[in-house]
Parts: sequence; structure tokens; C-alpha cells
Amino acid sequence: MNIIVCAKQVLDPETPVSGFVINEESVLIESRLGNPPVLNGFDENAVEAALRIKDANNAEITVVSIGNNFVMDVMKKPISMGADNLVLVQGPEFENLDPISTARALYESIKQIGLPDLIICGRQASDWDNSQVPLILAELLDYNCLTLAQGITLEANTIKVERVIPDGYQILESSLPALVTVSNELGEPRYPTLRGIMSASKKDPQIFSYNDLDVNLDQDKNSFTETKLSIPEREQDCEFIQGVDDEESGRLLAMKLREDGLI
Amino acid sequence: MSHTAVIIEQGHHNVDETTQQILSLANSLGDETSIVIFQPDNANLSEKFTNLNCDQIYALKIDSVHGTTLPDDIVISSLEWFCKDKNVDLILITKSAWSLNIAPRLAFRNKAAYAHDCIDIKIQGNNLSCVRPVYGGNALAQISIPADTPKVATVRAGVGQISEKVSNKIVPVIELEPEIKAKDLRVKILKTVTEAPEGPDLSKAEIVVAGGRGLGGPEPFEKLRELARVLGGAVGASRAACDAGWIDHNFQIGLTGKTVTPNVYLSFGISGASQHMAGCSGSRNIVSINSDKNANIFKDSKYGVVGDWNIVLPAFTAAARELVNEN
Ligand SMILES: Cc1cc2nc3c(=O)[nH]c(=O)nc-3n(C[C@H](O)[C@H](O)[C@H](O)COP(=O)(O)OP(=O)(O)OC[C@H]3O[C@@H](n4cnc5c(N)ncnc54)[C@H](O)[C@@H]3O)c2cc1C
Ligand SMILES: Nc1ncnc2c1ncn2[C@@H]1O[C@H](COP(=O)(O)O)[C@@H](O)[C@H]1O
Repeated sequence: MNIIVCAKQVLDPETPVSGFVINEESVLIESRLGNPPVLNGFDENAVEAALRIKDANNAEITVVSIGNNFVMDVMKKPISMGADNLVLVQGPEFENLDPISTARALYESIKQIGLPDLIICGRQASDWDNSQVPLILAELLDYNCLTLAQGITLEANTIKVERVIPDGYQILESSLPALVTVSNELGEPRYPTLRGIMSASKKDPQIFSYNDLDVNLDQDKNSFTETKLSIPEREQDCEFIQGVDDEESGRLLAMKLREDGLI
Repeated sequence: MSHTAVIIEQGHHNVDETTQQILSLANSLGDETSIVIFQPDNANLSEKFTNLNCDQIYALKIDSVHGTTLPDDIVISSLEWFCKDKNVDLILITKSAWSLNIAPRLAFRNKAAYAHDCIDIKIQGNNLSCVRPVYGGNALAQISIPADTPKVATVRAGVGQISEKVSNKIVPVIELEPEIKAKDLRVKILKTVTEAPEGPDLSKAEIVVAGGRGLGGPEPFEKLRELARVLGGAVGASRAACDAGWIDHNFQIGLTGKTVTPNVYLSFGISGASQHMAGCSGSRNIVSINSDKNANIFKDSKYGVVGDWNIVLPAFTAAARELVNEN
């Protein structure tokens, strides 16, 4: 079976708070530390989900990404984990797209690659935290949409997803083709293997540019007239409670909270 | 004349603070406000809402073949139909694990602009201005949507003031039967399994005791549970602690976990990453214990102790037990 994983390169969310700066012109957050981007965490979970299917079935995994200024080491990580192909849809036109345009570009790219049996996406990208692209993509492709998976099982033409819900889970079922979004509850993504790293270094990604796609992104732009970014102030005057040692600090804290009527 | 509809999450049977907050927000934004509920099972559900401050309640009656927990496809199709039938300008839904699956597809189908996880929404000139945290809360985006565009927005729980108390007038309940086609149902729910953890409900608790990676293992969470029992609170955790398997993911607080709004949020060994704070910054008093005096969480805390939880926690619990038992 054919699986497409949608993955995105993002600013490392572990960048210390003080490392974030706003680029007013591109309306983007950047790191002033110059640390490299990473693969979106949930997309690593998506790659892991695809690999588990490949472990048990005969499957070919193609990773697709829309963006600009790709860092090859970052984008090849899924290959070193065991994915088969990488398609990069790149160019300045794809910088900082809104969710509808991103979904539209993915839709056009996936049609060119060939419609797969299964598409796996992350539940959200840690840049704009939109959690929308996969759902819109499913609408565009008219694929069955199964979200927030912590487990996927396939049987002939049927897919079952264990979906995370508050205080429990659901079992969802549909036919293929389908699109699934995965959550971190799926479990840790595997580490790249030595063999994987070797084959990633030899593998060239297939590159699409704007002109290769039959897409007019301007027309699809959603109707937000303007977006402004700011960095929120996070400064409470924290009162530190300090005793002669940690034990006394603990006791004094309890007394303080009692005094304030908080406990 | 603009029409705002507040969608009540399916299976959500109570009028809580969050419901009142989002209703007040709706009333501040448009001329006409509706509440929309689903009636797969409970025919009396609408009675609970009838003294709220709105123009009408629409009860969407869905065929019982779809069960009591409605599949996303059915919810989306019925709301798509409703928006067209009633000319809705703005849909408001509390952001939750449920609305996450519904709102983007509904917006797409109705060619509406979608604002996700807003912490502020107001009218500015002719536009709707929404503020939403992005980059895990490290930045805020302000977006502006023209008046004549249909809109869908999800609102973070706990946002907004409750501006009006319940009214005495009885709000009319209008039953509607949305048009749903057999082919709309594509993904079935075979089973729903939920088990509420012991103790008070995390999302409603007045005191939350939360632990993070700094606790180093599953055993310390037993100590947090003990403290929670002493204080009558609920236990929560950071994603790092949940991913490590020290505590179940149901206890995760944050951007992709639960949102809590307690009076007191007591954190032990949590660094205060913005994605974690996204789930607890609505707490009235954050109190933090962390061995690193530069930990970010102190920037959001009212009180802090720089120290080792191994020592601070037992001393705090013992003292709290005495103080709480005094009267
Ligand atoms: C898209 C996305 C979504 C996310 N969603 C969530 C979410 O919903 N919820 C969430 O929590 N996180 C979420 N995260 C992860 C988040 O970015 C952080 O990685 C996580 O919150 C860190 O957890 P922590 O504070 O427990 O661990 P750490 O950051 O490792 O902090 C541990 C703290 O413990 C302290 N400590 C160590 N030893 C002791 C001791 N003996 N006594 C006292 N203190 C000690 C340390 O000083 C440190 O501050 C998300 C990340 C992304 C990218
Ligand atoms: N530019 C992109 N290229 C490839 N996949 C993407 C892109 N943007 C979003 N996705 C996919 O959609 C998921 C949700 O993204 P978002 O809706 O932006 O939060 C991500 O986890 C990816 O799987």
C-alpha cells in the first residue's frame, strides 16, 4: 500500500523564551540564537505511525513537505528513520502560507505524486498551532478523516483508529482511502538507524516548484485582512519564600497560602 | 443585523462557567444570539439552557441510529446545514478535543474564515478582531476579519467575563431536523471508553497539584496525590511527565492537554514552557517549587520556592495537613 506522510520544518519549540524575535516583514517568529529548525514533533509521530504499518505490511512511505529554505538534514530525518521517498515542494511562494493555501498546495502535490491509500499528518504544527491543514486536505481530497490517533490498525480495506479523547479513547472505523492525524500519545518516534542514515545521504529528494503545481495561491488566501504578531509580557512579581533550608521553605509556603486563604 | 451562534459541545450537559463566558462573549459581538445543542438522547437537555441570556435555543434533532456520541461527519453536516438555514454570521465554540475536529471542516465547507483557540475577540471598526496565541504561546497573533465574511472561531476555556446573570425570561426552544444524507457518514465510532479519574474533575478543580519532569519518576506522583487529597484538589502533569509514562496522558495540562482554571495551581518540577502554561495560565494563583531560580514558571507565579521538591513537598504537605485540619 502507499502511504503519504505530510511533514513540516519548524522553529525548534525548545528554543528558550528569550530567544524568540519577531520578523515584522514576514510576520514570522525567528530564533535570535540561530539554532537550526526541527521536524515538527507530531510529524515525527506521523512518520513513526507509518513505519509501524510498514513493519507489519508491504508499504511504501513518501514524505511530502511544503515550504522554503529547507534544511536537508532536517528534512531527510524521516528517510533515516525508514521512510522511502521525500518530495519537497519549495519556493518563496510557499513561505508562511495560511492553512487553506497549505492544504491546497499539498492537495495539488499529492495528486501529482499519485493518490495514496493512506495519508498521515501530525495533529498540529508547533509554529502557528493551527491544527487545520489535515482536515482541510481531507475535505479537498474527499478522503475519510480520522483524527487524534494514538494507534492505527489496517485490515484489508478497513482502517481502525484509536482516538485520544479526554479521560479515555474511541475506536473509529472507515474504509480506505483515508487521512489520519496522530497525537504524541502514539509513542516515541524511533531513532534513525545507521543504515537509514546511509540511505538518506544517498537519496535525493524530488523537488517541485510553484510552476510545477496547478495552483493559484492568491485566489485561495483566506480572508484575514491582516495579521500582527507580538510577544506577550510574562512578568509576575514572584514572591520567593525562603527558610533556612528547603524543609522550612516548604512549611513557610504552606503558612503563607493559609494566611492568604488559598488553602 | 448579525447573528452569532454558540455551539454547545455534544454530550456536554451542564451550564458551567465556560458556557456562560462564551455566551457573554457572543452577546457582546452581535445583535442576535442563539445557542445550539444536539439532541441525540436527552430530550430535556434544552430545559437547562432556557434561562440563559440569548434569543433562542436551537435543538438539532439527530436520528438515533447515529447513537448518543455523534460521529464528526454527522456533527459537521448538521452544523453546515444549520449555518445555511439560519444565516449565521459567526459560530463560536469552546476550544476542546471535540471542537478541534469539527470547526476547521465546518469553516471550510461554509467558506468561512476560521480563528482557532482565541483568547480575545472583539469588534473593531467593521472588523472582527481576534487574538490567538501561536508558537506555543511564545507569541500572540492578532487577526482581523471583515464584517461581511462568515466566521468560525474557537475560544479558549476560561476566556471572557460573565457579563449577565441568568435571566427570568424563558428562551424559546426551536427544534430543527438537519438534513443529513446517508453518504455523509463515513467514519463510524465503534466504541467510546471513558473513565473519570478519582477525585475532583481536573478541568473544574479549585486546587490543582501538578508535577513535571523534575519529579524524576512515577512514585513521586503518589506523593502529589496525597497532597491533593489533603487540599481537596486534583492532580495534573506536564507533557514530559506523561510522555515518560509516569502518569496517564489524561492528566496532561497544556496546549494539547487539558485547560485548567483553578484558584491555586501548585507546580513541582515544571519548567514553565509556554505550551504548558497555555493550559494553566488562567489559574488565579500559581505557586511553584523548582530547584532552578531562573525557571520560567516563576515569571507566572505569585509565590515561589527555589528548592528540591524531595524536601519541600513532604514539609509542605505535613504543614498543610496540620493547617487544614485546624478547623
Ligand atoms: C506542539 C507542542 C505541544 C505541546 N503541548 C504540551 C502540553 O500540552 N503540555 C505540556 O506540559 N507540554 C507541552 N509541550 C512540551 C513543552 O514544550 C515542554 O517540553 C514540557 O512542558 C516540559 O515539561 P517539564 O516542565 O515537566 O520538563 P522540563 O522542561 O524538563 O522541566 C523540569 C523542571 O524540573 C526542575 N527540577 C529538576 N529537578 C528538580 C528537583 N529535584 N526539585 C525541583 N525542581 C526540579 C528543573 O529545574 C526544570 O525546571 C508541547 C510541545 C510542543 C512542541
Ligand atoms: N507546509 C506543510 N508541509 C507539509 N505538511 C504540513 C505543512 N503544514 C502542515 N502540514 C501537516 O499538517 C499538520 C497540521 O498542521 P497545522 O494545521 O499547520 O497545525 C502538520 O502536523 C503536518 O502533518
